[in-house]
Amino acid sequence: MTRLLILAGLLAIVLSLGSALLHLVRTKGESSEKMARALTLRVGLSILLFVLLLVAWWLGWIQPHGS
Amino acid sequence: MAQAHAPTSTVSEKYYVPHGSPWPIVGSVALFTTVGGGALWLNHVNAGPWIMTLGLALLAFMFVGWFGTVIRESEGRLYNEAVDRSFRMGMMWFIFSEVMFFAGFFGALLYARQFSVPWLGGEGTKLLTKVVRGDSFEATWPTNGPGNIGGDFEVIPAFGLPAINTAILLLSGVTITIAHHALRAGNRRVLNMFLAATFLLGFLFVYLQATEYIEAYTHHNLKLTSGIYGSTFFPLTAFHGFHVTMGALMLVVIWFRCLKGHFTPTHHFAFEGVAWYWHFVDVVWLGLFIFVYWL
Repeated sequence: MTRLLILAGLLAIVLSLGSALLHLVRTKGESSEKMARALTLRVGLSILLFVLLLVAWWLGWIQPHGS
Repeated sequence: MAQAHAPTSTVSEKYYVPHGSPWPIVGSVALFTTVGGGALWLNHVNAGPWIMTLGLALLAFMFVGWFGTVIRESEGRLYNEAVDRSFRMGMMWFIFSEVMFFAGFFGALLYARQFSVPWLGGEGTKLLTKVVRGDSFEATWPTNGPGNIGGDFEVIPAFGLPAINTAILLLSGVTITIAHHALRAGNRRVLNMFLAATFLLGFLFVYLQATEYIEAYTHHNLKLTSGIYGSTFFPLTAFHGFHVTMGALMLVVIWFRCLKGHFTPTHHFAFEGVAWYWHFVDVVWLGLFIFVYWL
């Protein structure tokens, strides 16, 4: 379950990054603003995922290699 | 490092083609010299390292010269909307090649962990393989395989430098985002400050990564030759580190341009391209951190 949550988080991050790339390639309208927003979302989700990893480890749900 | 401007009366109406540019041939010679020198070095020819260094110096010269040329063309309003579209398409295909590059390495890691190592351990229909081999190899990860190639080793714990490096790159993601919004808001002071913070964090990441490698080689006996683990761990993390280095150098170029007053709140494609690239290497690291150190 924890692994699925981590993978889902990573997928959401990749999708927000991909969305920003599409806005970067477009030249019309509000694409520049939408790109900045998508990248901000990307950063927020990444921090959330990092915190999730730490919390999952603290609760004993997940263990890194070599521990 | 290009920057296309909005169409104004001063912008060129023709699609700009830089006839007679020396940089492509300089780049070709530089790459040939670098790779040739490297090949000679691997074959124990004494001049190899010197030839490779010469090639790298020529490559650096080309970067400085070519970037400078493109920046002058951009500031000279030689690029129109069609050129702007070309830059954006170029960026998209460049990123596509980068995604494929890393997909190859992540794919190798996935294949080794999910298929080849379990098969060597006799999983599923490969039980006969284990019987014929007659060894006691148990499929676990991390491993250097049935031959214990490279000898016993320890992995780098996730809660050492890797976690610190993850925090550093995530922080750099925050600083580049603040710089991005500052540029759009016309706040040049915040832009310059947070852009500088971003590439400094990037260089700190590379320094700590090098420290981790020294630690791996000297205290953990973890080497490139440590079987399947070493030969997936080092290429993945080293190529990522190379990308961080290149991204940080691109950020330095953009920072100098910002200091010189280039870019406007509405037209700053060069900044956007480099910023997106920085977010990309950040996400690749997050994937690395999860798949290499945790799952």
